[in-house]
Formats: sequence, C-alpha cells, structure tokens
Amino acid sequence: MIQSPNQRVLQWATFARIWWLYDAHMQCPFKSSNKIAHYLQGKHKPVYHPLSQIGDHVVVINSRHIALRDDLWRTFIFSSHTGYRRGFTQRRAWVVHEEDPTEIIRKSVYSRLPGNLLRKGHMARLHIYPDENVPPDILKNVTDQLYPILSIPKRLDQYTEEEVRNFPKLFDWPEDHKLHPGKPVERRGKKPVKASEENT
Amino acid sequence: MASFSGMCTCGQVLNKSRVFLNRISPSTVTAHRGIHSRKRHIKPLLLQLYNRRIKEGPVPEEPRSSWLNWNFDAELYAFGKRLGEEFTDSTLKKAFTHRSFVEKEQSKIQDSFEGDEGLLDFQSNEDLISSGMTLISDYIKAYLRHHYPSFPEEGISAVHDYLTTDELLAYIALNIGIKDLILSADFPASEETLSKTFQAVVGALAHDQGMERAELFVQDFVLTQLIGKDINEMWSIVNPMGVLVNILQKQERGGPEPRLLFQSGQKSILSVYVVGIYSDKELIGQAPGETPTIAEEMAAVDALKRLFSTEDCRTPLSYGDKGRKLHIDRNSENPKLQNYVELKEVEEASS
Repeated sequence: MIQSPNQRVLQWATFARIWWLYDAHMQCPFKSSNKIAHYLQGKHKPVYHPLSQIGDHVVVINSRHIALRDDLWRTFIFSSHTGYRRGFTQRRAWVVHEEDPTEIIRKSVYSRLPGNLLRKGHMARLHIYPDENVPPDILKNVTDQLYPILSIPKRLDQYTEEEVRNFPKLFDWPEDHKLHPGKPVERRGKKPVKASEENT
Repeated sequence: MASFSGMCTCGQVLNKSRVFLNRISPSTVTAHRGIHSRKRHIKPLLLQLYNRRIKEGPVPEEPRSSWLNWNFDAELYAFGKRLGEEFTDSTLKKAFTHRSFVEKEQSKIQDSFEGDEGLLDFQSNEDLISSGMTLISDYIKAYLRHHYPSFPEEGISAVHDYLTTDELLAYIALNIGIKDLILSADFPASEETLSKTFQAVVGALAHDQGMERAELFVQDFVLTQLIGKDINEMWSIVNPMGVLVNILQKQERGGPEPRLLFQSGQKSILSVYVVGIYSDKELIGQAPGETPTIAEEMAAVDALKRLFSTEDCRTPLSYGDKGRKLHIDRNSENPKLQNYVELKEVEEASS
C-alpha cells in the first residue's frame, strides 16, 4: 500500500525515538533504574508491544555522584562468574564504583530489563556518563529530561552560618560540654583511587 | 511355450502366493485382493489427463444464462428484492439491456426472418444511464458540500471524480450482483459496462420510486465508499505554503510564521522535527517531519486542512438513520480556491 505524505510523517513521528536526559546526582541507582528501564523499553508509549523495538534513548549524567542508602556501599555485593573453574568473584559496591563509576547503574538497569533478545538493543540505547561532560553529538539529540525520583536534601555545610544560628534550638549545651568530633571510618580492602590519579 | 511361461512369471508367483494364503484363510484374501493388485496403467493415464488440462489453459468463463436452470425474470425480481427496492419489471429489464445487445439481436432476426423487426421488443438503457449518472453526480456533490462547507470546489470535484470512476462503480456493481443480469454483446462484461449498468439501475430506481429514494440508494452504496478514506489525499494542493500565504493575506491576518516546536535525535538518522505555523501569535497548524523543511510543508498542509475544516479529527459522514434526516441544500456551491476568501468575506458581511 502506498502511503500518503501525511500518513508517512505521522508514522515517522509515532516511531521516532525520543532522547531523555536523566541526572543521577544524589539518586538511588536501584530506584532510578526502574524508571530508566521503563523508558528504554518504550512502556510509556501507547504503541508499546513487548516484541517490538520502540524504546527511547536515555542519557544518564553524574553517575559518579549516585547515592546509596544505609550501609549499602559496603554491604551490597556484585557477584560474577567467568564460567571457568574458580572463576567466581564478588565485589562490594564501593569497589565496583571506584573501578568504573558507570557500572552500578548499568548493571542495575540490565537486571531490570527482561532477559530476552531485545535486551542488547535496549542496553545500546542507554548512555551513561560519570559527570556532566557529555559529547556534544549526544547532547544535541536530547529532547527532554526525566524527573529525578528523589528530592536532593540540603547538607549542613550548604547552609549559611546565619541560617544555622537562627535555627530554633530546644536547649543549649552546657558550657563545659565537649562535642565528639567523630572518627573517620577506616575501610579495609583496596585503597580508593582518586579522580585526579585516574586521569593521569 | 517357453516364451509364454517366461512372460507369466509374475502371475505364477502371485498364484503361488494365493495358493499359500488360501491355505491359511481364504475369506480374508478375497476381501483384500483389490489392494494387492493395483492397476499400473492408472497413474500414467491420470498424469496424461492432468498435463493435457494444464496445456489447455483455464476454462473460458461461461455466462450464467447459458446454464439450463437460468430464469431471467426470477433473477430480475430477486435482484430488486435483495436491495429492498420496488422496481417495475419492464424498467429494470430496460436498465440491464445495453444498446450493443439490442443491435446483436436485431442482426440475428434480420438474418433469420429477412427484415422482420416487429418481433423485437427490447429497449436499450441509454436514457436511464444518462439520467442515473446525472443523479449520482449531482447528489454526490450536494452531499459533500453539505458536509464540508469550507472545502474548496476543486476538492469537492476531486472527491466526486474518485467516486464516479468506472473502476469504483464497477466494483459496487459487481458486489450487488449486477454482473450476471447484464444483457450486453461483450462478455465477460467490461468495467465500463458494469459501471454503466449501475448508473442505469439508479436511473431506473429514480424512474420507478422517485428521486429521493434513488438518492438514498446512492448514499448507501456509493458514498459509503468514503469510509476509511482521507478526502485530503484525493486532492493534493501544489505549493501549500504559497496558498496559505495568499489566504491569510486576503483574510487580513498576519503572515504564516513557521516555528520549531519539538525535535529529537538531531544528530541521529532517526531525527524528527515538529514544526508549528503561527499567524498573529496563534497556532494554526502543526506537523512532524524527517527534516525541518518537510515538517514545515506538512504543517502548511495541516493549517490548510484546519481552514477547510477537513482535519483528521473531523466528524464522520452521516449514513443510515442520520443520513435519512439530512436536509441538503442543492443550490449552494462552495467557494473556489481562487476566490475562496473573497466569498467568505461577503458571507461574514451579510451575516
């Protein structure tokens, strides 16, 4: 059947891929990946079908600055097996993140996608960048942004001294009271690599 | 004798086995003998017959009237009843009789009776064809003008031309069972013959039951062919942006300003651009496209569609009960594309 120009452009628009930007700064990677996987599969579209490749592109930025709740940086474990004898390895989340800051989001999105032949195509449409330095060719494609799922809390050091001073207090510390300065947590295992060393 | 025995080895073997089997159970063997003695000449014979049939080609189509059980009068009566219409037998018979058929019959009679034409009482359907076609044509235009009052006259004509092609009318004629009833010299009936017969049937209906009934017949069978079709595709406007500029200028509105509304995948091969057209800061049309240029042109087409109120979301045409209640004004005519705006201004001034 020959399509008229009107039908052609309407179909083109229906199956066009939208490019979404997602800022992962201070976002939980596991909760975010539910949303990202939803858009990668095109489940938000009325023409969605599980066997058709009509998903969108998602560009994730600031993946280095994701946030994990509780003690998950230490307790969450990524396991893998090479398939060979004695090939089983387990790494903690902070180790994985330090080796490749895009890895945690990629792995969790991968686990949310259905395990069929379309998964490779869906993953090809996920572009993750550790910071805000996105290649211009990718950034020019972007149409819209996905709303972050968590609201970012303000840290104590981000408040001005005046705001802290004016904050209502229930009681005053006695003058001779000494506040515990806190002890830096010593992490066992691999020594973290700094960003500056990585670049060199 | 030796040669005879040599030829009959198979028979001997068979006989031996029969004897052997007879000893076991004679009744069973006689019952199944047909299976074991398959005739070897049958397969080549069937193959030969099949190849001959293939070589011969398809069987030429025979007219239904050549069959023994054909009853033309009964079929004519049934045709009218099937459509739910009351025809007079003579008019309906006339509608199916083409001039070529009358001439053929005349020449036959002349050959046999040496010029005695008194026996022939056939009338050809030419006047019914012309009256039917006029009715179909007039009603289609009036119906379309009633539903699309802002659609330019050129577009109405284009849709009318689509509906009155021989191809479409022949399709309708074929599907209401006209083919077998045609009395014409050409067989199988060509598209033109089918189409003309349909027109004659409409003419016959108008003759027997009046214009209104015939028009509803046209509404039910011809105009329903527009269901699922886009009338904007039947009439393509050359240079839509130029036409839009002219129309807006004559209406004393601001000129069309194309603006990019959305875009995605600018650096990929699957890029899409949505362009909107504004006039006096009001969105008058928008459309997607593979490039901004295509999108702009399609947006101009969309703006024209909205001006002519033939958008994709237009209300459907009225058929059935709604179609029966229509009050169609026969005398009005839509503005032409050239003086489209001028007429509209006059209307506004008068109202």
